[in-house]
Amino acid sequence: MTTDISTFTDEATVRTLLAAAGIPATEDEILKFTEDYPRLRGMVDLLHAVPEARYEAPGLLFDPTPTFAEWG
Amino acid sequence: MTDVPLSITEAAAAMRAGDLTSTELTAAVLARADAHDGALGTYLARFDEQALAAAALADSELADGIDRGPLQGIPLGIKDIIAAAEGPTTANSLVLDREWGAGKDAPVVARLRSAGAVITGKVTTMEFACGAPDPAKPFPLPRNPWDTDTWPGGSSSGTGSGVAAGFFLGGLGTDTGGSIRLPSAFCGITGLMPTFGRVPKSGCAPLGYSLDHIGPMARTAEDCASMLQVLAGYHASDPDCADLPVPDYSTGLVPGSLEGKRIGVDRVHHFPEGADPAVAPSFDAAVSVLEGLGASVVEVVLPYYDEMLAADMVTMGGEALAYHLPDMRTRWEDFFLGTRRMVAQGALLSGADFVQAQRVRRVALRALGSLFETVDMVAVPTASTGATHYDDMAGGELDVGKVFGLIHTPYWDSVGNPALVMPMGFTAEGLPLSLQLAGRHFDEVTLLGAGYGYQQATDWHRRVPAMVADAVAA
Repeated sequence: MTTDISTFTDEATVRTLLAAAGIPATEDEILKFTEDYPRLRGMVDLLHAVPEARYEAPGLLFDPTPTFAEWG
Repeated sequence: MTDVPLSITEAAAAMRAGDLTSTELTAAVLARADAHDGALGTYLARFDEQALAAAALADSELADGIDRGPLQGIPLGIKDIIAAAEGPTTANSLVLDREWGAGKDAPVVARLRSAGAVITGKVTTMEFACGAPDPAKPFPLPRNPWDTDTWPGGSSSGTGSGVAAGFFLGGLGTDTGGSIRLPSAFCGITGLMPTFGRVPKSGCAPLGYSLDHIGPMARTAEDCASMLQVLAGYHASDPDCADLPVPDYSTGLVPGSLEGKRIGVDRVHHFPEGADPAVAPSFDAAVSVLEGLGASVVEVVLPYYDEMLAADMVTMGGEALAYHLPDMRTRWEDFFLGTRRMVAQGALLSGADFVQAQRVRRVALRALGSLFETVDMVAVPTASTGATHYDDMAGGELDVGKVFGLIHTPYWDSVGNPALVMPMGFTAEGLPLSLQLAGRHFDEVTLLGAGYGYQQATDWHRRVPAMVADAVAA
Protein backbone atom coordinates (compact mmCIF):
# COMPACT_ATOMS: atom_id res chain seq x y z
CA MET A 1 0.00 0.00 0.00
CA THR A 2 1.53 3.34 -1.06
CA THR A 3 1.52 6.59 0.89
CA ASP A 4 -0.70 9.49 -0.10
CA ILE A 5 2.09 12.03 -0.41
CA SER A 6 -0.37 14.82 -1.19
CA THR A 7 -1.06 15.03 2.53
CA PHE A 8 2.45 16.31 3.19
CA THR A 9 2.52 20.11 3.33
CA ASP A 10 5.40 22.14 1.96
CA GLU A 11 5.99 23.51 5.44
CA ALA A 12 6.25 20.03 6.93
CA THR A 13 8.64 18.99 4.19
CA VAL A 14 10.83 22.05 4.64
CA ARG A 15 10.93 21.72 8.42
CA THR A 16 11.79 18.04 8.22
CA LEU A 17 14.56 18.48 5.67
CA LEU A 18 16.18 21.43 7.45
CA ALA A 19 16.01 19.57 10.76
CA ALA A 20 17.48 16.45 9.20
CA ALA A 21 20.39 18.56 7.98
CA GLY A 22 20.81 20.08 11.45
CA ILE A 23 20.18 23.60 10.17
CA PRO A 24 18.74 25.86 12.91
CA ALA A 25 16.74 28.20 10.66
CA THR A 26 14.53 30.80 12.33
CA GLU A 27 10.74 30.63 12.08
CA ASP A 28 10.84 33.55 9.65
CA GLU A 29 13.39 31.76 7.50
CA ILE A 30 11.36 28.53 7.54
CA LEU A 31 8.37 30.55 6.31
CA LYS A 32 10.41 32.02 3.49
CA PHE A 33 11.87 28.63 2.50
CA THR A 34 8.31 27.28 2.51
CA GLU A 35 7.02 30.10 0.29
CA ASP A 36 9.87 29.49 -2.12
CA TYR A 37 9.66 25.68 -2.06
CA PRO A 38 7.18 25.26 -4.94
CA ARG A 39 9.44 27.35 -7.20
CA LEU A 40 12.50 25.34 -6.12
CA ARG A 41 10.73 22.03 -6.57
CA GLY A 42 9.42 23.15 -9.95
CA MET A 43 12.94 23.86 -11.14
CA VAL A 44 14.15 20.46 -9.95
CA ASP A 45 11.21 18.64 -11.50
CA LEU A 46 12.07 20.35 -14.79
CA LEU A 47 15.39 18.49 -14.70
CA HIS A 48 13.74 15.15 -13.95
CA ALA A 49 11.40 15.70 -16.90
CA VAL A 50 14.10 15.86 -19.59
CA PRO A 51 13.49 12.74 -21.69
CA GLU A 52 16.91 12.94 -23.38
CA ALA A 53 18.56 12.48 -19.99
CA ARG A 54 16.94 9.08 -19.34
CA TYR A 55 20.04 7.07 -20.23
CA GLU A 56 22.63 9.85 -20.09
CA ALA A 57 25.70 9.61 -17.84
CA PRO A 58 26.38 12.41 -15.36
CA GLY A 59 28.70 15.22 -16.38
CA LEU A 60 30.86 14.73 -13.29
CA LEU A 61 33.30 11.85 -13.51
CA PHE A 62 35.04 9.84 -10.79
CA ASP A 63 38.78 9.58 -11.36
CA PRO A 64 40.17 6.56 -9.46
CA THR A 65 43.77 7.71 -10.10
CA PRO A 66 43.81 11.37 -9.08
CA THR A 67 46.90 13.55 -8.81
CA PHE A 68 47.35 14.91 -5.31
CA ALA A 69 49.16 18.24 -5.07
CA GLU A 70 49.05 21.19 -2.69
CA TRP A 71 48.78 24.84 -3.64
CA GLY A 72 50.75 27.69 -2.10
CA MET B 1 48.02 63.97 -8.40
CA THR B 2 49.21 61.75 -11.26
CA ASP B 3 46.59 61.10 -13.94
CA VAL B 4 45.83 57.39 -13.93
CA PRO B 5 45.80 55.72 -17.37
CA LEU B 6 42.49 54.08 -18.08
CA SER B 7 43.71 50.62 -18.97
CA ILE B 8 46.46 48.10 -18.30
CA THR B 9 47.52 48.36 -21.95
CA GLU B 10 47.84 52.15 -21.78
CA ALA B 11 49.67 52.08 -18.46
CA ALA B 12 52.09 49.43 -19.74
CA ALA B 13 52.84 51.54 -22.80
CA ALA B 14 53.32 54.68 -20.70
CA MET B 15 55.79 52.88 -18.42
CA ARG B 16 57.83 51.62 -21.35
CA ALA B 17 57.81 55.07 -22.96
CA GLY B 18 59.20 56.54 -19.76
CA ASP B 19 56.11 58.66 -19.16
CA LEU B 20 55.04 56.91 -15.98
CA THR B 21 56.55 54.69 -13.31
CA SER B 22 54.83 51.91 -11.44
CA THR B 23 55.61 53.74 -8.22
CA GLU B 24 53.82 56.86 -9.48
CA LEU B 25 50.90 54.80 -10.76
CA THR B 26 50.57 52.77 -7.57
CA ALA B 27 50.78 55.86 -5.36
CA ALA B 28 48.13 57.55 -7.48
CA VAL B 29 45.62 54.69 -7.27
CA LEU B 30 46.20 54.34 -3.53
CA ALA B 31 45.57 58.07 -3.12
CA ARG B 32 42.40 57.75 -5.15
CA ALA B 33 41.23 54.97 -2.84
CA ASP B 34 42.08 57.20 0.14
CA ALA B 35 39.83 59.87 -1.35
CA HIS B 36 36.89 57.78 -2.46
CA ASP B 37 36.76 54.32 -0.91
CA GLY B 38 34.89 55.60 2.14
CA ALA B 39 31.94 56.08 -0.20
CA LEU B 40 32.37 52.79 -2.08
CA GLY B 41 33.40 50.09 0.39
CA THR B 42 35.68 48.44 -2.16
CA TYR B 43 38.58 47.34 0.04
CA LEU B 44 38.54 44.88 2.94
CA ALA B 45 42.32 44.98 3.36
CA ARG B 46 44.93 47.21 1.75
CA PHE B 47 48.55 46.22 1.23
CA ASP B 48 49.96 49.73 0.64
CA GLU B 49 53.49 49.06 1.89
CA GLN B 50 53.89 45.79 0.04
CA ALA B 51 52.34 47.28 -3.09
CA LEU B 52 54.73 50.21 -3.17
CA ALA B 53 57.67 47.83 -2.64
CA ALA B 54 56.45 45.68 -5.55
CA ALA B 55 56.05 48.81 -7.65
CA ALA B 56 59.62 49.89 -6.91
CA LEU B 57 60.88 46.43 -7.86
CA ALA B 58 58.89 46.56 -11.11
CA ASP B 59 60.45 49.95 -11.91
CA SER B 60 64.02 48.82 -11.20
CA GLU B 61 63.57 45.64 -13.23
CA LEU B 62 62.19 47.56 -16.20
CA ALA B 63 65.12 49.99 -15.92
CA ASP B 64 67.47 46.99 -15.97
CA GLY B 65 65.82 45.62 -19.10
CA ILE B 66 63.84 42.90 -17.33
CA ASP B 67 60.44 43.02 -18.98
CA ARG B 68 57.95 40.51 -17.59
CA GLY B 69 55.11 41.59 -19.85
CA PRO B 70 52.16 43.98 -19.73
CA LEU B 71 51.18 43.23 -16.14
CA GLN B 72 54.55 44.34 -14.77
CA GLY B 73 54.03 47.19 -12.35
CA ILE B 74 50.25 47.19 -12.79
CA PRO B 75 48.10 47.58 -9.64
CA LEU B 76 45.54 44.76 -9.32
CA GLY B 77 42.89 43.95 -6.71
CA ILE B 78 42.07 40.45 -5.48
CA LYS B 79 38.57 39.26 -4.55
CA ASP B 80 38.72 38.26 -0.90
CA ILE B 81 37.84 34.62 -1.38
CA ILE B 82 41.22 34.06 -3.07
CA ALA B 83 44.29 33.60 -0.89
CA ALA B 84 47.13 36.12 -1.01
CA ALA B 85 50.21 35.93 1.16
CA GLU B 86 50.02 39.49 2.52
CA GLY B 87 47.14 38.76 4.84
CA PRO B 88 44.32 36.43 5.83
CA THR B 89 41.34 35.72 3.57
CA THR B 90 37.93 36.51 5.04
CA ALA B 91 35.48 35.57 2.26
CA ASN B 92 33.68 38.68 3.58
CA SER B 93 32.56 36.53 6.50
CA LEU B 94 32.89 36.06 10.24
CA VAL B 95 32.94 32.32 9.62
CA LEU B 96 35.96 31.51 7.46
CA ASP B 97 38.88 30.24 9.54
CA ARG B 98 41.46 33.03 9.28
CA GLU B 99 44.17 30.34 9.24
CA TRP B 100 42.87 28.96 5.95
CA GLY B 101 45.45 29.82 3.29
CA ALA B 102 47.31 32.13 5.67
CA GLY B 103 50.62 33.28 4.28
CA LYS B 104 50.06 31.54 0.96
CA ASP B 105 49.29 32.70 -2.56
CA ALA B 106 46.63 30.92 -4.58
CA PRO B 107 48.17 29.76 -7.88
CA VAL B 108 46.47 32.63 -9.74
CA VAL B 109 47.97 35.20 -7.36
CA ALA B 110 51.40 33.59 -7.60
CA ARG B 111 51.18 33.79 -11.39
CA LEU B 112 50.25 37.48 -11.27
CA ARG B 113 53.21 38.16 -8.98
CA SER B 114 55.59 36.29 -11.27
CA ALA B 115 54.37 38.58 -14.05
CA GLY B 116 55.40 41.58 -11.94
CA ALA B 117 51.90 42.69 -10.97
CA VAL B 118 51.38 44.90 -7.92
CA ILE B 119 48.78 43.46 -5.53
CA THR B 120 47.09 46.41 -3.81
CA GLY B 121 44.74 44.54 -1.52
CA LYS B 122 41.73 42.28 -0.95
CA VAL B 123 38.35 43.53 -2.01
CA THR B 124 34.72 43.10 -1.12
CA THR B 125 32.74 40.08 -2.17
CA MET B 126 29.30 38.72 -1.37
CA GLU B 127 29.80 36.46 1.66
CA PHE B 128 31.44 33.28 0.36
CA ALA B 129 30.60 34.58 -3.12
CA CYS B 130 26.84 34.10 -2.60
CA GLY B 131 25.44 36.09 0.35
CA ALA B 132 23.93 39.49 -0.43
CA PRO B 133 25.34 42.43 1.58
CA ASP B 134 24.02 42.38 5.13
CA PRO B 135 24.06 45.76 6.92
CA ALA B 136 23.94 43.95 10.28
CA LYS B 137 27.38 42.44 9.73
CA PRO B 138 30.70 44.26 10.33
CA PHE B 139 31.75 44.56 6.68
CA PRO B 140 31.60 47.53 4.30
CA LEU B 141 28.49 47.82 2.18
CA PRO B 142 29.80 47.85 -1.40
CA ARG B 143 28.49 50.72 -3.52
CA ASN B 144 28.47 51.39 -7.22
CA PRO B 145 30.62 54.37 -8.29
CA TRP B 146 28.04 55.24 -11.00
CA ASP B 147 25.37 55.78 -8.31
CA THR B 148 26.26 55.06 -4.72
CA ASP B 149 22.62 54.24 -3.87
CA THR B 150 23.02 51.17 -6.07
CA TRP B 151 24.78 47.86 -5.72
CA PRO B 152 27.88 47.22 -7.81
CA GLY B 153 26.61 43.69 -8.41
CA GLY B 154 28.19 40.50 -7.18
CA SER B 155 29.63 38.50 -6.08
CA SER B 156 32.89 40.14 -7.23
CA SER B 157 31.55 43.49 -6.02
CA GLY B 158 34.81 45.14 -4.95
CA THR B 159 36.66 44.11 -8.10
CA GLY B 160 33.92 45.70 -10.18
CA SER B 161 33.73 48.93 -8.23
CA GLY B 162 37.51 49.14 -7.85
CA VAL B 163 38.24 48.89 -11.56
CA ALA B 164 35.41 51.33 -12.39
CA ALA B 165 36.71 53.84 -9.84
CA GLY B 166 40.33 53.38 -10.85
CA PHE B 167 41.52 51.99 -7.50
CA PHE B 168 43.38 49.39 -9.57
CA LEU B 169 43.55 48.72 -13.31
CA GLY B 170 42.37 45.14 -13.16
CA GLY B 171 41.43 42.47 -10.69
CA LEU B 172 40.40 38.91 -10.06
CA GLY B 173 36.81 37.81 -9.81
CA THR B 174 35.11 34.44 -9.62
CA ASP B 175 31.99 33.26 -11.42
CA THR B 176 29.59 30.47 -10.40
CA GLY B 177 26.26 31.94 -11.54
CA GLY B 178 27.43 35.28 -12.93
CA SER B 179 29.76 36.77 -10.36
CA ILE B 180 32.41 38.11 -12.73
CA ARG B 181 29.93 39.20 -15.36
CA LEU B 182 27.24 40.88 -13.25
CA PRO B 183 29.53 43.32 -11.39
CA SER B 184 31.33 43.99 -14.67
CA ALA B 185 27.95 44.82 -16.22
CA PHE B 186 26.70 46.95 -13.34
CA CYS B 187 30.02 48.83 -13.03
CA GLY B 188 30.55 49.46 -16.74
CA ILE B 189 33.76 47.46 -17.16
CA THR B 190 34.90 44.36 -19.07
CA GLY B 191 34.97 40.90 -17.52
CA LEU B 192 35.83 37.44 -18.75
CA MET B 193 34.61 34.14 -17.38
CA PRO B 194 37.08 31.71 -18.99
CA THR B 195 36.21 28.13 -19.92
CA PHE B 196 35.72 25.93 -16.84
CA GLY B 197 39.14 24.49 -15.98
CA ARG B 198 41.13 27.02 -18.02
CA VAL B 199 42.35 28.80 -14.87
CA PRO B 200 43.21 26.91 -11.64
CA LYS B 201 40.79 27.58 -8.81
CA SER B 202 42.75 26.08 -5.96
CA GLY B 203 43.41 28.55 -3.18
CA CYS B 204 39.91 29.99 -3.63
CA ALA B 205 37.13 29.28 -1.12
CA PRO B 206 34.66 27.22 -3.19
CA LEU B 207 31.01 27.92 -3.90
CA GLY B 208 30.36 25.29 -6.58
CA TYR B 209 33.15 22.82 -7.25
CA SER B 210 31.94 22.09 -10.79
CA LEU B 211 30.76 25.65 -11.48
CA ASP B 212 33.48 27.98 -10.13
CA HIS B 213 35.63 29.97 -12.57
CA ILE B 214 38.35 32.50 -11.70
CA GLY B 215 38.80 35.23 -14.29
CA PRO B 216 39.94 38.79 -15.04
CA MET B 217 37.99 42.01 -14.71
CA ALA B 218 39.50 45.11 -16.27
CA ARG B 219 38.78 48.05 -18.55
CA THR B 220 39.06 46.29 -21.92
CA ALA B 221 39.05 42.95 -23.70
CA GLU B 222 42.73 43.54 -24.48
CA ASP B 223 43.44 43.95 -20.76
CA CYS B 224 41.52 40.75 -20.00
CA ALA B 225 43.60 38.96 -22.64
CA SER B 226 46.82 40.14 -20.97
CA MET B 227 45.58 38.89 -17.61
CA LEU B 228 44.30 35.56 -18.97
CA GLN B 229 47.69 34.96 -20.62
CA VAL B 230 49.21 34.93 -17.14
CA LEU B 231 46.39 33.17 -15.29
CA ALA B 232 45.67 30.29 -17.67
CA GLY B 233 47.30 26.88 -17.58
CA TYR B 234 47.37 23.59 -15.77
CA HIS B 235 48.04 23.39 -12.04
CA ALA B 236 48.13 19.97 -10.39
CA SER B 237 46.49 21.24 -7.20
CA ASP B 238 43.15 21.76 -9.00
CA PRO B 239 41.57 18.45 -10.09
CA ASP B 240 39.36 20.31 -12.55
CA CYS B 241 42.18 22.16 -14.24
CA ALA B 242 42.55 21.39 -17.93
CA ASP B 243 45.96 20.10 -19.00
CA LEU B 244 45.81 21.83 -22.38
CA PRO B 245 48.22 24.22 -24.11
CA VAL B 246 47.64 27.92 -23.50
CA PRO B 247 47.40 29.82 -26.80
CA ASP B 248 48.70 33.33 -27.42
CA TYR B 249 45.54 35.34 -26.69
CA SER B 250 46.94 38.41 -28.44
CA THR B 251 46.63 36.68 -31.83
CA GLY B 252 42.92 37.51 -31.79
CA LEU B 253 43.46 41.19 -31.01
CA VAL B 254 43.86 42.31 -34.60
CA PRO B 255 41.96 44.41 -37.16
CA GLY B 256 39.29 42.39 -38.91
CA SER B 257 38.80 40.12 -35.92
CA LEU B 258 35.06 39.96 -36.63
CA GLU B 259 35.27 39.42 -40.41
CA GLY B 260 33.35 36.31 -41.33
CA LYS B 261 32.38 35.49 -37.77
CA ARG B 262 28.90 34.00 -37.30
CA ILE B 263 27.05 35.38 -34.29
CA GLY B 264 23.87 33.88 -32.87
CA VAL B 265 21.39 36.09 -31.01
CA ASP B 266 18.85 34.49 -28.66
CA ARG B 267 15.85 36.82 -28.37
CA VAL B 268 13.61 34.14 -26.83
CA HIS B 269 15.18 34.06 -23.37
CA HIS B 270 16.88 37.43 -22.95
CA PHE B 271 14.21 40.11 -23.27
CA PRO B 272 11.89 39.51 -20.30
CA GLU B 273 8.98 41.60 -19.08
CA GLY B 274 10.20 44.29 -16.76
CA ALA B 275 13.40 44.85 -18.73
CA ASP B 276 14.80 48.38 -18.67
CA PRO B 277 13.60 50.11 -21.88
CA ALA B 278 17.17 51.06 -22.83
CA VAL B 279 18.40 47.46 -23.02
CA ALA B 280 16.84 46.39 -26.32
CA PRO B 281 17.92 49.44 -28.36
CA SER B 282 21.41 49.38 -26.82
CA PHE B 283 21.76 45.69 -27.61
CA ASP B 284 20.48 46.13 -31.17
CA ALA B 285 22.98 48.95 -31.67
CA ALA B 286 25.77 46.70 -30.38
CA VAL B 287 24.75 43.92 -32.76
CA SER B 288 24.74 46.44 -35.63
CA VAL B 289 28.32 47.36 -34.73
CA LEU B 290 29.31 43.69 -34.87
CA GLU B 291 27.64 43.34 -38.27
CA GLY B 292 29.35 46.49 -39.48
CA LEU B 293 32.68 44.91 -38.56
CA GLY B 294 31.99 41.96 -40.83
CA ALA B 295 30.10 39.49 -38.67
CA SER B 296 26.92 37.79 -39.84
CA VAL B 297 24.06 37.55 -37.36
CA VAL B 298 21.41 34.84 -37.10
CA GLU B 299 18.62 34.21 -34.63
CA VAL B 300 19.21 31.18 -32.39
CA VAL B 301 17.57 29.60 -29.37
CA LEU B 302 19.89 28.37 -26.63
CA PRO B 303 19.01 24.73 -25.94
CA TYR B 304 17.75 23.63 -22.53
CA TYR B 305 17.84 27.22 -21.26
CA ASP B 306 15.51 26.86 -18.28
CA GLU B 307 17.03 23.48 -17.47
CA MET B 308 20.54 24.94 -17.28
CA LEU B 309 19.36 27.67 -14.91
CA ALA B 310 17.87 24.91 -12.75
CA ALA B 311 21.07 22.85 -13.05
CA ASP B 312 23.16 25.79 -11.84
CA MET B 313 20.90 26.26 -8.83
CA VAL B 314 20.73 22.55 -7.94
CA THR B 315 24.45 21.95 -8.46
CA MET B 316 25.41 25.00 -6.45
CA GLY B 317 22.94 24.03 -3.73
CA GLY B 318 24.50 20.61 -3.22
CA GLU B 319 28.12 21.65 -3.61
CA ALA B 320 27.89 24.76 -1.44
CA LEU B 321 25.98 23.08 1.38
CA ALA B 322 28.46 20.20 1.51
CA TYR B 323 31.21 22.76 2.15
CA HIS B 324 29.28 24.93 4.63
CA LEU B 325 27.14 22.43 6.56
CA PRO B 326 29.43 22.00 9.60
CA ASP B 327 29.53 25.77 10.14
CA MET B 328 25.84 26.26 9.33
CA ARG B 329 24.93 23.79 12.08
CA THR B 330 26.99 25.58 14.74
CA ARG B 331 27.40 29.21 13.57
CA TRP B 332 24.12 29.88 11.78
CA GLU B 333 23.80 33.42 13.13
CA ASP B 334 27.30 34.40 12.03
CA PHE B 335 26.35 33.94 8.38
CA PHE B 336 24.76 36.74 6.35
CA LEU B 337 20.99 36.37 5.93
CA GLY B 338 21.40 35.99 2.18
CA THR B 339 24.03 33.27 2.53
CA ARG B 340 21.76 31.29 4.82
CA ARG B 341 18.92 31.47 2.28
CA MET B 342 21.13 30.66 -0.70
CA VAL B 343 23.12 27.80 0.79
CA ALA B 344 20.63 26.11 3.12
CA GLN B 345 18.21 25.47 0.26
CA GLY B 346 20.66 22.72 -0.66
CA ALA B 347 19.10 20.76 2.21
CA LEU B 348 15.81 20.77 0.32
CA LEU B 349 17.37 18.85 -2.58
CA SER B 350 18.13 15.15 -2.80
CA GLY B 351 21.22 13.34 -3.98
CA ALA B 352 19.21 12.12 -6.96
CA ASP B 353 18.28 15.73 -7.78
CA PHE B 354 21.99 16.63 -7.84
CA VAL B 355 22.93 13.69 -10.07
CA GLN B 356 20.03 14.45 -12.42
CA ALA B 357 21.36 17.99 -12.82
CA GLN B 358 24.69 16.51 -13.92
CA ARG B 359 22.98 14.23 -16.44
CA VAL B 360 21.01 17.13 -17.92
CA ARG B 361 24.21 19.22 -18.12
CA ARG B 362 25.62 16.58 -20.46
CA VAL B 363 22.43 16.59 -22.54
CA ALA B 364 22.70 20.36 -22.87
CA LEU B 365 26.39 20.12 -23.82
CA ARG B 366 25.53 17.79 -26.71
CA ALA B 367 22.92 20.21 -28.03
CA LEU B 368 25.09 23.29 -27.49
CA GLY B 369 27.93 21.61 -29.34
CA SER B 370 25.64 21.29 -32.34
CA LEU B 371 24.71 24.98 -32.05
CA PHE B 372 28.36 26.00 -32.05
CA GLU B 373 28.82 24.18 -35.37
CA THR B 374 26.52 26.82 -36.88
CA VAL B 375 27.79 29.93 -35.03
CA ASP B 376 31.15 31.08 -33.62
CA MET B 377 29.69 32.90 -30.66
CA VAL B 378 26.38 33.90 -29.10
CA ALA B 379 25.48 37.54 -28.27
CA VAL B 380 22.92 38.49 -25.62
CA PRO B 381 22.51 41.24 -23.03
CA THR B 382 24.31 40.42 -19.77
CA ALA B 383 21.32 41.73 -17.82
CA SER B 384 18.03 43.40 -18.64
CA THR B 385 18.52 46.00 -15.93
CA GLY B 386 21.03 48.52 -14.72
CA ALA B 387 22.50 48.25 -11.23
CA THR B 388 20.06 47.20 -8.52
CA HIS B 389 18.96 49.87 -6.07
CA TYR B 390 19.66 49.12 -2.44
CA ASP B 391 15.94 49.62 -1.73
CA ASP B 392 15.48 46.22 -3.45
CA MET B 393 17.95 44.63 -1.04
CA ALA B 394 16.43 45.64 2.29
CA GLY B 395 17.37 43.57 5.29
CA GLY B 396 20.32 41.90 3.63
CA GLU B 397 18.37 39.92 1.05
CA LEU B 398 18.01 40.30 -2.67
CA ASP B 399 14.50 40.24 -4.07
CA VAL B 400 15.53 37.12 -5.92
CA GLY B 401 12.59 36.96 -8.29
CA LYS B 402 12.85 40.61 -9.25
CA VAL B 403 16.62 40.80 -9.66
CA PHE B 404 17.68 37.41 -10.93
CA GLY B 405 14.87 37.14 -13.46
CA LEU B 406 16.62 40.01 -15.24
CA ILE B 407 20.13 38.54 -15.19
CA HIS B 408 21.31 36.31 -18.04
CA THR B 409 24.48 34.70 -16.75
CA PRO B 410 23.96 31.30 -15.05
CA TYR B 411 23.37 29.34 -18.29
CA TRP B 412 27.05 29.60 -19.21
CA ASP B 413 28.24 28.42 -15.79
CA SER B 414 26.25 25.21 -16.15
CA VAL B 415 27.82 24.42 -19.53
CA GLY B 416 31.30 25.82 -18.79
CA ASN B 417 31.66 27.92 -21.96
CA PRO B 418 33.69 31.15 -21.82
CA ALA B 419 31.75 34.41 -21.74
CA LEU B 420 33.00 37.99 -22.18
CA VAL B 421 30.97 41.01 -21.08
CA MET B 422 31.55 44.61 -22.16
CA PRO B 423 29.79 47.97 -21.71
CA MET B 424 27.28 48.78 -24.48
CA GLY B 425 25.44 51.87 -23.26
CA PHE B 426 23.49 53.36 -20.36
CA THR B 427 20.01 53.43 -18.90
CA ALA B 428 18.11 56.72 -18.76
CA GLU B 429 19.34 56.96 -15.15
CA GLY B 430 22.96 56.78 -16.26
CA LEU B 431 23.62 53.19 -15.16
CA PRO B 432 25.81 50.99 -17.40
CA LEU B 433 24.39 48.30 -19.69
CA SER B 434 26.38 45.32 -20.92
CA LEU B 435 26.81 43.05 -23.93
CA GLN B 436 27.64 39.38 -23.35
CA LEU B 437 29.48 37.25 -25.92
CA ALA B 438 29.79 33.51 -25.25
CA GLY B 439 32.07 31.21 -27.23
CA ARG B 440 33.20 27.66 -27.72
CA HIS B 441 35.07 25.86 -24.97
CA PHE B 442 38.75 26.95 -24.86
CA ASP B 443 38.24 29.42 -27.74
CA GLU B 444 38.95 32.58 -25.75
CA VAL B 445 41.12 33.78 -28.66
CA THR B 446 38.04 34.25 -30.87
CA LEU B 447 35.98 35.71 -28.04
CA LEU B 448 38.61 38.23 -26.96
CA GLY B 449 39.23 39.11 -30.60
CA ALA B 450 35.55 39.91 -31.03
CA GLY B 451 35.62 42.03 -27.90
CA TYR B 452 38.72 43.84 -29.14
CA GLY B 453 37.04 44.59 -32.45
CA TYR B 454 33.89 45.88 -30.74
CA GLN B 455 35.91 48.12 -28.44
CA GLN B 456 37.97 49.54 -31.31
CA ALA B 457 34.68 50.70 -32.86
CA THR B 458 32.95 51.98 -29.69
CA ASP B 459 33.94 53.92 -26.59
CA TRP B 460 31.48 52.76 -23.92
CA HIS B 461 34.36 51.03 -22.10
CA ARG B 462 36.18 54.39 -21.79
CA ARG B 463 33.42 56.08 -19.80
CA VAL B 464 34.19 56.64 -16.13
CA PRO B 465 31.94 57.54 -13.19
CA ALA B 466 31.71 61.27 -12.46
CA MET B 467 33.11 60.82 -8.95
CA VAL B 468 36.57 59.94 -10.33
CA ALA B 469 36.48 61.53 -13.80
CA ASP B 470 38.80 64.40 -12.85
CA ALA B 471 41.90 62.24 -12.37
CA VAL B 472 41.68 59.90 -15.35
CA ALA B 473 43.96 60.31 -18.38
CA ALA B 474 41.21 59.16 -20.75
